[in-house]
Amino acid sequence: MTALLASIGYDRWILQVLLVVPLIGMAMVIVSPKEWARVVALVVALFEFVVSLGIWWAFDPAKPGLQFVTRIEWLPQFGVSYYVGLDGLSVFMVLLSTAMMPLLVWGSWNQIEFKQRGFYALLLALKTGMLGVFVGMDLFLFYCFWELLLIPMYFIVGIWGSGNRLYAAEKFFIYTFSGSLLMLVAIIASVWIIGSETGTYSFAYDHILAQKDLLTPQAPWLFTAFALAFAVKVPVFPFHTWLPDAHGEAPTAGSVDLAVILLKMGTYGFLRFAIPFFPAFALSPAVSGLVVILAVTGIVYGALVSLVQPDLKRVVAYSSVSHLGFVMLGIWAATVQSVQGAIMVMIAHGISTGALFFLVGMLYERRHTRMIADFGGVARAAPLLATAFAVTAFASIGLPGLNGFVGEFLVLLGSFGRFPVATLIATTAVIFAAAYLLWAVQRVFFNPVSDPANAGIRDLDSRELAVLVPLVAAMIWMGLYPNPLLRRTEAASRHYVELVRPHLEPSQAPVAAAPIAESGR
Amino acid sequence: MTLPLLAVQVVDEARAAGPGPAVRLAWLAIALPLLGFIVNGWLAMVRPRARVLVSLIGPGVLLAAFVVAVAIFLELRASPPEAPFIVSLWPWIHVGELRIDLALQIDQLAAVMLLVVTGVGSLIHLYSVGYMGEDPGYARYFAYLNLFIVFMLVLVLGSSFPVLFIGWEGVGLCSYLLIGFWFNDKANADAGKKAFLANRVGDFGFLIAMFLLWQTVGSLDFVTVFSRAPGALTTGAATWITLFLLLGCTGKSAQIPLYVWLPDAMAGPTPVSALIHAATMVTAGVYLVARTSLLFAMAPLSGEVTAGIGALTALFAATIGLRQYDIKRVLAYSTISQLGYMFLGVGVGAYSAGLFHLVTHAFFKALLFLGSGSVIQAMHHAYHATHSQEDAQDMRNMGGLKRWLPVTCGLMWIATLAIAGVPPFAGFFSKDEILAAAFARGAEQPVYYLFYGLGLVAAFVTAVYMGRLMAMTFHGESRVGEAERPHLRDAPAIMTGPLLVLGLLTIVGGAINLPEFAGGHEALEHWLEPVTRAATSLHPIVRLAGTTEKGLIGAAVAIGVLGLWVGFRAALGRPILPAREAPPDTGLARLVYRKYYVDEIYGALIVRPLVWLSEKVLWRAVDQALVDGVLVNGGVVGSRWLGRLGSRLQSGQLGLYVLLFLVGAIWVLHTILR
Amino acid sequence: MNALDLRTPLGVSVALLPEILLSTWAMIVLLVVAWRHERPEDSYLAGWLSFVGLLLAGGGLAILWLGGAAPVGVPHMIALDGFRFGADAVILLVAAATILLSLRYVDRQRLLAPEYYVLILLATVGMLFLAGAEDLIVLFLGLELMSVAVYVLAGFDRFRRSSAEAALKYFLIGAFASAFLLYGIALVYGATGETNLVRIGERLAAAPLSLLAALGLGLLLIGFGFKVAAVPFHMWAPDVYDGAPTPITGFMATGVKTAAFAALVRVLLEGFPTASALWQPIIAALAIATIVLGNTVALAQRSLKRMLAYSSIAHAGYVLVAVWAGTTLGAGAVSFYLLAYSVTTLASFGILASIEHVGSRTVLVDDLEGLYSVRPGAALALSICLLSLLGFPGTFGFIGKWYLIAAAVSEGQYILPVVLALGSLVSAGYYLPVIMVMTMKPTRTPEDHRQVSFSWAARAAVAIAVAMILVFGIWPTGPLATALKSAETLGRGTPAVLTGQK
Repeated sequence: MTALLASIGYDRWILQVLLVVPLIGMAMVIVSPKEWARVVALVVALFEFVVSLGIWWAFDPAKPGLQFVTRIEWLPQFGVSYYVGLDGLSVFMVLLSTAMMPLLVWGSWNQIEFKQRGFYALLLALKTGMLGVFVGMDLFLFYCFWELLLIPMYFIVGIWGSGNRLYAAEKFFIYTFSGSLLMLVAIIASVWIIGSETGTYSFAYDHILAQKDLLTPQAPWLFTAFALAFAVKVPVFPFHTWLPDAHGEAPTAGSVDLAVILLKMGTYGFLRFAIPFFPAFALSPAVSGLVVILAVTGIVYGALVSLVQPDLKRVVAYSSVSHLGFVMLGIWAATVQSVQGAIMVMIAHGISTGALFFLVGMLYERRHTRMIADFGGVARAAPLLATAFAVTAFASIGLPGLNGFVGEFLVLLGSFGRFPVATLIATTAVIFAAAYLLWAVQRVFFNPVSDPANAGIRDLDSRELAVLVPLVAAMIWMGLYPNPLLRRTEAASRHYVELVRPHLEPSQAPVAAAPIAESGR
Repeated sequence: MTLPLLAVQVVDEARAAGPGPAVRLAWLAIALPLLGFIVNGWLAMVRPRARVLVSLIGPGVLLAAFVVAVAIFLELRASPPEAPFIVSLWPWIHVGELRIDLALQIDQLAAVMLLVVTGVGSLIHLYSVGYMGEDPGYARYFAYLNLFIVFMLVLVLGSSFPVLFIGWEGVGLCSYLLIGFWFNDKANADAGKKAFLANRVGDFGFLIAMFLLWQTVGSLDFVTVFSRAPGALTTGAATWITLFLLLGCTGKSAQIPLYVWLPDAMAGPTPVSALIHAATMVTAGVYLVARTSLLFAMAPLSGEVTAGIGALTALFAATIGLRQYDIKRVLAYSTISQLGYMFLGVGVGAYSAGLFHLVTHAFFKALLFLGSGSVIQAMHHAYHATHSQEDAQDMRNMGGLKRWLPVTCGLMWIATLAIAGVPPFAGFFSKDEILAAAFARGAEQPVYYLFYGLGLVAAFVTAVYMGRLMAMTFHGESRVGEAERPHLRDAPAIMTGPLLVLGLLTIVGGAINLPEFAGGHEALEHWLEPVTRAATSLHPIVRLAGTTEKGLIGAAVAIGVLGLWVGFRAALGRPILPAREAPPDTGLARLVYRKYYVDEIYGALIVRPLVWLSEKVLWRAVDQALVDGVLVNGGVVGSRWLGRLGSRLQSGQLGLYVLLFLVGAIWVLHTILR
Repeated sequence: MNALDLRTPLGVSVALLPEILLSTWAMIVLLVVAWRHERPEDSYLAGWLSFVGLLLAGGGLAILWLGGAAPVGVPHMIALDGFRFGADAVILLVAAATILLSLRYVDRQRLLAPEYYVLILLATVGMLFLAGAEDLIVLFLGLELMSVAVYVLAGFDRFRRSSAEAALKYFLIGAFASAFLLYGIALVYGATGETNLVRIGERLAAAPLSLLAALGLGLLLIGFGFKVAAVPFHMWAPDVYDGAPTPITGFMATGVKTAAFAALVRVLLEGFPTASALWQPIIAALAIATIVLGNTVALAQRSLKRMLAYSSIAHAGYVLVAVWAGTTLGAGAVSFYLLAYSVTTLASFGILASIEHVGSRTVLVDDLEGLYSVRPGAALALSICLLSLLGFPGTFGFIGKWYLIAAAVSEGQYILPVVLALGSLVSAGYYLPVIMVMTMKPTRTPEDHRQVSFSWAARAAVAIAVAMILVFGIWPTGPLATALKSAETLGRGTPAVLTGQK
């Protein structure tokens, strides 16, 4: 397989194809007749997915650096170039978002009653933006993609959203925009600071990384600017309040994309840019202390708040705050285990939370309400739906053997050495997570059938199964055999850890169990 | 995804004798029930009516698994290995130095658990064919049951803490599903949730223990941990680790303080109560302590705590059992208290004794539950036939049932004598061994005398409530309505069959670890030696002098018999009113009947404050009012307000414009001339 | 012909080719108008004639620019460098677009009076002089020529009281400001004995800055502050912008600003490079005040026109950030941003002009509800313009903003860029709602937006503008290179000008 891909120069064109195909698809959707829009979109999505699959084999797990690199001069006057590449940190984000595309289209098959063309066009545009964020290795390019995908999401929430959609859309836009504007200043500043020292003005990721020591004097505010942009996206408590609104009001596809990809952009940004550029400051006791406190707060806070949400969709939304907190904790603990765990949580959260949003959307299609109180005893009428929801819920709870556990376990295991107390508190989330999800499951699917409308509720049809089965399969597979994933991300995580390790004071350097391990083996 | 070749690594390479074919195929024991789960689950979705197929597959796969278990046992007995066999299936989580494989560990302890789980499991599966026959969720029921066995086997065979944790959580999941099997009744759904959450609290401890192990020992699989622990662990570290493990055990095995979920768990079908909440799952905690016996042996304090919790739970739960009317609840509390005995045993350091009681308890408690199941079903049919709404589980509605259910009655008497500790029944030997061990340990640590005392009293109370249960159910004059009586009849063969087998085991079960004074040679203890040696070498079990031992035995037996008599008399002494007419209990009786209000206290102290905090403070106040209201929207409103202020300036008055112009001009000149 | 001796009449007249062509053509148009001014057709005729004139001027400019015209020897009254040419190009572009947008508009709004176009031409001539002046006297002449014409244009809408009133205010305060400017010129002359910027630069470089010169600089800054509508000298702007005919508003918001900024940059970089310590803090303060006030007040506007007026004030603030840098990079950023901003602003005013109802001149933001479903083209175009003003990636405006930030950052200045960023954030608060009501809300009544009509000329102008916004948003290499190069030629032949250039 690998050889075959190499023979067709897969690694040279794949990323360009992935970025361009959605745009072409967008154009096709716009020109195609209304009722064909979704079909065209589905075809494009499937094509994109199938093409992207090659990455699985073409990606070389052993290499810590960038792969699939393409670099073309763009604005030579300003050292901006079209520079894309992949490594262990981003490879699964890319695969995840391409894999989600067909499901997104199929999932919103009957949900979009009007302006279908616009919807699917924006959905595809969004995808280009997302992929760009993860493959863009030139900060200018990265920033462009980072901002660009606000627009499609803004319209998707604002036009096809429900209830208080305008407020949610604008809140989402302004919230994220506020963060990223400062990042723009920081990006330009970093480039000019380095340029004035070295004479070469370049926005290329590795150029800045190589010269990062020149940034040290300005690190505090530069890092803060980066961190704000990413923290809003993650979202880190207390920058999270756009999330429930955006998630709550967005149409299913929007919520899913938010959960699967957008939230990961924040944590990815920390892993890729914010910490590697300013390690000394980012991991200084004060900063890491603050971050860890916020992360743990988010973990517990999100869990507790989602416990009392009356709206099923918001239960899931707040649970994201909790899950992403684990990622932050793992990133800052900076051990191979914790970082690997963080990446796993990013993937797992994408799969299970995405599935949860699909399921909530399906419930909404049936009853046109998301209020938990309106449901009850649904499992009797719709056992398949109930089963799918239960499996997903347990995956999200972190039941070992399903995808959620691997990441959480690794994060906590890896963080315990550096932040014992924080990890201890974070671990209580295993209780709260079970509490809010099981309670929701009980009130929706179990209990007596209070409302006759729930007795007649329709079970999953084949289309919905086609959306859910792959996700559930992925949960089980990733739960029982995550090693292929771990193998592909390990090199990058190691690289990250070695990058930041020197900047941890010996006191807070992770208690490495390595020596014993070596002697034992 | 291609599964890596099913490789078998033998841990100490020195040993020539590799594992035999049965051990190599150990994974079959798990794969078969898994297959059953998949097929049954599929049937449950697509054709719930397929009774025959389900009835064949459900118990069938389990019997097959039992065969595998027996094969493994025989193989191990043929050549008892010193070190466990590791059957590694595929790499699970490999990160840096952390290398967790999905691997099974076959040794003497695993073999015993394997036999119990598959053996008792098969019997209960068979029983269920009869018991759940009419249930619409028949296929779903067997799917869950098979899945439970899968996870239970992963639990007992797992070769590392995380793999064990898969089973540990998985059985919790199945118990959640089976307790809430009839999920349209809110009480059942609540009970299921409660069980899972209580277990989750325990799992928190389990996880922390794993993290500590990783930090201190640098590995998570049993063999490595136990080989390194003596070198790598200080007593303090060992104590913390074992205490957190213990928290996990109290959750799974329903000990103080996390026992509260087990009584409610009786909401599930009775065979489930027998299998999960009596014979197998709840004993996982005991198994874990035995499995990590070395760590506990290194931390004397944890041993004491374990024993103390056990003894306390044994008495506490037993007393509650005294005033329960629901026949299954009585048995539930008796299970909790019996588990207490097991904890006392393993706490004391008599691991084989604890496991011995685990096995015998699996026999007689399964028998009791299944027996009560037959009773309940009989009552239920009777009431069903007459469309009566009475409670089929309330003993106040029973009485004199032996006339209609002789077989059940007889079998339950056997189990009762066993649990009361009357020789020669199985329970007598195991319970006596635990108490003896506790007493012996008292010589060096007096506190163990106290534990012994508690255990002894608990034994008496146990006998009392069992006598009461039997009397209220089977003896005295019947309180079953005239209309119902003709419909009462004993269970069908498919149900009584397993009962008979269990009865037999209850009678002869003691043989597996018959002490010297009874002419045995403690087979189980010797069998388990390779596993427990490391621990017992740190804390050798003190042997009692013959006379003392005899004395203790005498006392125990006397107490058991006396208790039974007291309970029996007390129950029949005064007339009992049917549930409907019975006045509510008062005073102490009420206190006990309401389980000392522990549930209410937990609710008031933990649950409700937490919900209030989340809703009122975190969500309404912090999230909506502070962050959203003040900071976010506040910022927007603020800048708008500023804007309005600014546009006020735009009054159209030329004078004002010029004035501002001049102010600006003056400022510019002033700054430039400064 | 790239070396022009500006001492010879020929040299001068060649150097002034665009100005001369345009002014003579303006006269011609005036004559034509004198004969033909009754019927609507006459107005169209005048319009087209003026357009042709602009093309001619453009041709003249092209000859100079592509010919690489450069002065020989000592500096002179009129500059011959890329910076002037760049500014001129923007100005001519703006004027041409304004005419295209006006053609149908004046007809619809019953403003039939062909002098309108002549005035635009004259104003343009003034702007060209202003942008090209290397001598304070020429600068003042250009300024006045431009201003007088614009005063009249601002009040051209005779039937509207507010329009006339605004024009009057504009005229009064304008005169006031011109006085400051003139006085400043006088003081500088007094201090240095020179009116030529380059020579002034040399003199000031020689000796420490005298009090007189400093005072003069301050007065000049005030005068320019008025022209670019920097807070607190902006008070006239909202009223005038609101009152003037919409295309003229666009013309003022772009052309006048472009010319004024070009002149300001030239004065500061050629005349007072050594005094940067003096003027930088003032520019910084003006920039901050302008950004903050412009954006926040725009938040509170419900009238689309007024909102755009305030946003154009805010954008002046952004430009000031680059002016602050006082480097060639800054100068390049200024000219680049002025192009981006002018294109975008004109397009949005053009769309607004085509949306306005006949008679009533106030379009509230909420009046646009559901525009997308009726006039998707207009809604889309306006959305793109607004996003470009917001400085969103993929648009011309973003590259411009990014260039401004770079200019300031390259001088180690971080506060102004951050203020700029926060200003843009606030601006999202008033640009987005427009997009929102256009795309996300349904029309109030079925016959909403029927009045929206684009003359093909206006349509072409807007289309070209939008195309530029998008194309240069993704591929700005051309303009970027030109801006940088033109800035490097700024004040050629004068030492010690390009301080801190990279």
